[in-house]
Amino acid sequence: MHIDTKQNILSSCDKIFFQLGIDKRSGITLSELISRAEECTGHKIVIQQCPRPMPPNLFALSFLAERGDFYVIFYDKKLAGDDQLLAVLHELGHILLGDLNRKKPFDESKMPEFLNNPLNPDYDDYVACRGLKNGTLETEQAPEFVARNLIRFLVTDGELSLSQAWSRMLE
Amino acid sequence: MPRDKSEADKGKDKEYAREIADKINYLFDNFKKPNGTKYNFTDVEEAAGIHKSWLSKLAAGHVSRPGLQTLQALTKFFQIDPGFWFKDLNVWIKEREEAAIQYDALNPHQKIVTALRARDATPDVEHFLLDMLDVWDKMHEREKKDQNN
Repeated sequence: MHIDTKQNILSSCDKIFFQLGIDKRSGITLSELISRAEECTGHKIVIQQCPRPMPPNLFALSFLAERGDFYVIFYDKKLAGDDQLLAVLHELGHILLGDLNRKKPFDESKMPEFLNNPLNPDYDDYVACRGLKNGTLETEQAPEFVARNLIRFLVTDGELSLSQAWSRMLE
Repeated sequence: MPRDKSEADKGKDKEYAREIADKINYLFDNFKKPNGTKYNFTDVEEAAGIHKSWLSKLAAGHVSRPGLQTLQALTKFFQIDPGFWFKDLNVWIKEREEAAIQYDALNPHQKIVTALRARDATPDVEHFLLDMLDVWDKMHEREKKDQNN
């Protein structure tokens, strides 16, 4: 059974927006989004810059770990602006989709067909996104799609720009 | 002024309420007490603090959005992952079955380092990730000590 079909990914993203009460007309602030994810999971979510550079053979921009009652999102210190934000939202997608808890192993046999032919027009743009072109796990599609949708509906508090709001969150 | 719900929104509410009901009923049917008997609403009310009348409404398909606290309490009580609420039930069940089969084959490092954006986890990558977790653990420990002092 191929689990992460396009339909399932879209459906999961819809459910996240619906249950977290994200109104696409008014959007949501970063702090509110994190707060709702914390309320839903019962874990405190910590965002942490990775203190050392990621190894060159790790095709990664961020990673996630569960430490007791915390989810810790590490992001590559080379990332900036929207890329940093997107990487963090991607990991938030993993949290909400329960990927960490399910302890999925690295199963190359589940690599979706699009990785062999990423230019196939049958696949939408979101599928052939950054990172995936290098070849990553099937489980990366859903959180990446969630992240790319979430970032579209993020709004800022008051006069803050998104990047300022983001910087403030990391302080 | 509050906007009236469109027919599409009402349809979505109904669809999600049905789905929530299916999921709640699945939990009560499949996640049992250590002695093999089913939990009832009173058990969950006492242990998780969710009122049984609310559970009854959820199970009957009357509620499309149970609230984040309810989702969290049920997630904790039945020891499931948050993805249960955001994935189609059949998908979640299938993934869980597959993961259970494959989990035993993992080495201890892989069991710790899971949801990462990597093609594979070579020993040096695993070492790096575990190292980062150690750094975080130490920082967290120090913060806790500072707070206590």
